[in-house]
Amino acid sequence: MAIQENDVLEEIRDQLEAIKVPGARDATPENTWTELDVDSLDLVELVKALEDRFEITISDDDLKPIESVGDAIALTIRLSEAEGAPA
Amino acid sequence: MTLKAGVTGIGSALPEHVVTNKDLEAYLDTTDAWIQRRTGIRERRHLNGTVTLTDLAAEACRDALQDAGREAADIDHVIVATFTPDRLMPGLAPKLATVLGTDGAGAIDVNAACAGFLYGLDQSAALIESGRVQRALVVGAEALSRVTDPHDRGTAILFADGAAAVVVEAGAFENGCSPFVLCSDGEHGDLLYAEREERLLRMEGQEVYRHAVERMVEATREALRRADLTVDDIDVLIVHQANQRIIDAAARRLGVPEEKVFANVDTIANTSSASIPLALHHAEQRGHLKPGHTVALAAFGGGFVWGAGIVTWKERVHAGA
Repeated sequence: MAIQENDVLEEIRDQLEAIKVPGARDATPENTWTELDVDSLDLVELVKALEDRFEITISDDDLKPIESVGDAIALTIRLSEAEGAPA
Repeated sequence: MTLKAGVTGIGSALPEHVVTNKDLEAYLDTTDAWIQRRTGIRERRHLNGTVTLTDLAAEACRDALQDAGREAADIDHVIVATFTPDRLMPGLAPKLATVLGTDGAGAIDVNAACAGFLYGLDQSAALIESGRVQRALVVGAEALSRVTDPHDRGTAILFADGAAAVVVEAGAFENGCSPFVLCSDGEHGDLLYAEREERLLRMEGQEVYRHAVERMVEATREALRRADLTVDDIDVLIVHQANQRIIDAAARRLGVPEEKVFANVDTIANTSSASIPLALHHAEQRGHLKPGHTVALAAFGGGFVWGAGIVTWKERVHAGA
């Protein structure tokens, strides 16, 4: 079963909350990292959580163009489908 | 019982000159609040030109020798982990050995960036366990202010100066220094480096952070395995004090509870190879680290080089040894 956008969004909210990003619970796909005050190191923790939860591997090159919650959701779904990992 | 290498004394020294985040606000586009939130650092120390790194290292070594109840003449090998020695050549170790009065001990500098102290400690343990050396001083001494671009906001807030040393001796220890895990990957040498011409540290923070956390966690798990221990056996975890978030992330992924993780990055910042022994000494001074404790050490630096090791702190020698 393919993973759902909402599952990824919830995981992102959980992780942002874990690393104490203000407003984590209200994050939407439209929010950019700048708006959420998520910096490059926060992003590494977020990526690690997505890798573990959805059994994907996100490379440094994949990570560079990711600028918003929506970008991260799209990347996670794309990689998950490419790697054929279970949801 | 086979002879093992154990840590029997520790000492440290910091430059007097304190550079606060407020001081940095004067010439960098940053704020105290931003630096604290992003790095956990409040202040750092810089050598101000009147004291050499050799002086600072000597102060740390005298402190460590006194703690171990040894004289400089008892030491037959000095290993200094540094990439910011007072001179390009000779290294810092020969002068340091002479200043201390070691009576001509072997003396060598080791450059393994921020993992240098672990490499030095492992080398000393190998020399001692093979019977080639009886007692060694292993020193982490760094003056990163010499190679920091004061106008680079990404690095000027992080790097600092300091020195610390341990005395390592042969003894009938139960555990001593367990086999260390030391690794390298030169493919990423351009993510954290100082060029010969520019002589300033440059760092791709995000990539380095990512690799640092993952590699230190892997190495610590392997070091535990080699020591036949589990994460629950760790009394104190000391991770290279690069910034508070790396320390927190590594501890979280390893599953080591906050109360077992020691950090002094708030007042010391990143002192590269001096970071681990400075943290060990401060952990002991503040009562977190006691004789017999199992301490896990992990470090990561430019190269990349990284490693981890398990040490039983100031273990008592077996009776009859």
